[in-house]
Amino acid sequence: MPTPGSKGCSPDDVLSDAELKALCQRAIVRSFAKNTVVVSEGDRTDSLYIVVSGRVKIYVSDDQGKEMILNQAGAGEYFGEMVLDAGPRSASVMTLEPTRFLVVPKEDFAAFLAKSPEFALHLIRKLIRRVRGLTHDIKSLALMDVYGRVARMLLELAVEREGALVIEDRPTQQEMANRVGASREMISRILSELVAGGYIEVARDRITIARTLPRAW
Amino acid sequence: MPGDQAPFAHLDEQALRGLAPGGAIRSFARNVVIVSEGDPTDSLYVVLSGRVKVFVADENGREVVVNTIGAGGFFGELVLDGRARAASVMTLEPSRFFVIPQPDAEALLTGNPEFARHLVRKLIGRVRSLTEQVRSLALKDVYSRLVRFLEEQAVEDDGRRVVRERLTQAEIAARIGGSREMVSRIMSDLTAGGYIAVETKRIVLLRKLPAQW
Repeated sequence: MPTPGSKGCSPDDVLSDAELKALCQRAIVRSFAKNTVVVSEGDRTDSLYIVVSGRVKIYVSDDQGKEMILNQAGAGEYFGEMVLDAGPRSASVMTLEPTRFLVVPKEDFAAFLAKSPEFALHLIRKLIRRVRGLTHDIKSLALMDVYGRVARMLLELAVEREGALVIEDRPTQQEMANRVGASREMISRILSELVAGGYIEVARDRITIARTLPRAW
Repeated sequence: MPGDQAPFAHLDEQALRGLAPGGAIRSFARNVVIVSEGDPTDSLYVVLSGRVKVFVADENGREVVVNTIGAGGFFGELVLDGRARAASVMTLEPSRFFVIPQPDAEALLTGNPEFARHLVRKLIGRVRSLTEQVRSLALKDVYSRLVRFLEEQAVEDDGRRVVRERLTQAEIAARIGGSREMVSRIMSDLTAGGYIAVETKRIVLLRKLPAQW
C-alpha cells in the first residue's frame, strides 16, 4: 500500500487506506519503467490509475513533441478520473521514475463513487484544485511574458534552507521549458542573465535564489 | 454546455429556497463585477437570467476570459475548498442571481448526492475545457487559437456556420489570450481572403479557415 504523504505529493490528493481497500478489490497491479507513456491524450481508455510508488507527469503535447506539463502525481495519488464523463483522455501521462500502479476498472470506480459520499467530496476537492491550478496556468500563459513565468516557477519551486531560497533536485532546462510553455533556448538565456546579474546561483543539482528576482526582464 | 444546466435549471425561486433556505435574489446591471479574484467571499451564485464572464486579469487590467455562464448555470463552487476566489466574474448583461450562502452550499454538497454527482461532472467539464485552453496557449500561435475559437463558437444557421454572439475584437482577444491589434489584423486578412464575413451582430464562416496564417 502506498504511504500517504510521501515526498512531493499534495497530502490532500492522497487516498486513505480504507478508500484504497474498497476501491482496489479488482484492481490489477502494473509496473512501468521510467519515461513510459501510460495514458495518451485522445484515447478512449477508461481505467483509473493509483500511483503505488514512483512519480508521473501529466501533460499535453502537439504533433511536433512540444509539451506543457499540467501536473505531477506521486505515491497515493490517482489520475484518470476525468473519464467518468465518458469523454476521451484529456491529457497524457508519463512515468518520471520506475512506477507501480493499481489500475481500477471504470465500473468499480463509478460504483465506489456512487456509494461513498466521502470519496465524492474527496474527488470534488481534487477537481477544484485542478481547476484552480489550470486557471493559474492560463493567467500566466496569457498575461505574463516568459520571464514572468520563469520567475514565478523558480519562486514556487524554491524552499527555505538555512535562510536561503533553494530549489533542490532542480529540473533540467527542458523540463522548465515544458512547465512554463517556452523554448529551452529561452530558459537558457533567462537563467544565464539571472546568473550574470547575481540573482541566482546554478549548481549541478540545485539553484539558489540569491536576491529578489527583478520584476521584469 | 447542456451538462452545466442541471441541477438548478428550471428551478423557480421557491424551489431554490427549498434547496437553500438562506439564499437571496440579487440583481445587477451590465458590467458589474460580482466576484473578485483573490477575495475571501464564499457564496455560490445561480444565474436566473442574464450572462456573466469568468476571467482573470493582471494589475494593468489585461484580462483573459476562462468561461461564460448563462441562465441555469452556476459559479463560485471553487470556494467549497475554503480558499479565495480563483477568478473574477462580471455581468455581460443585466443579470439576476440566486445567491446561496456558504453553509447552505456546504449542506447541499454533503446532504444531496445528486448535487455532488452533478458537481463532479461539472468540474470534469471545467478541467477539460481549461486543459484545452492551456494547450492552446502553450502550444499554438495566436492565429491557430483564433481559428479554434471561431470554429468552437460557430453554430449551423441555414446551412451556414455563424458565430452569433457578436464579440468585439477586444473580447475575442481576451478569450484567446492575444492582443486586440493582432486579432484585428488576422480578422481583416480573413475578411479580405473571403474566409469570413463580419456582420453587425455576427461573424459568418464562409469557407474552411486555413490551417496557417
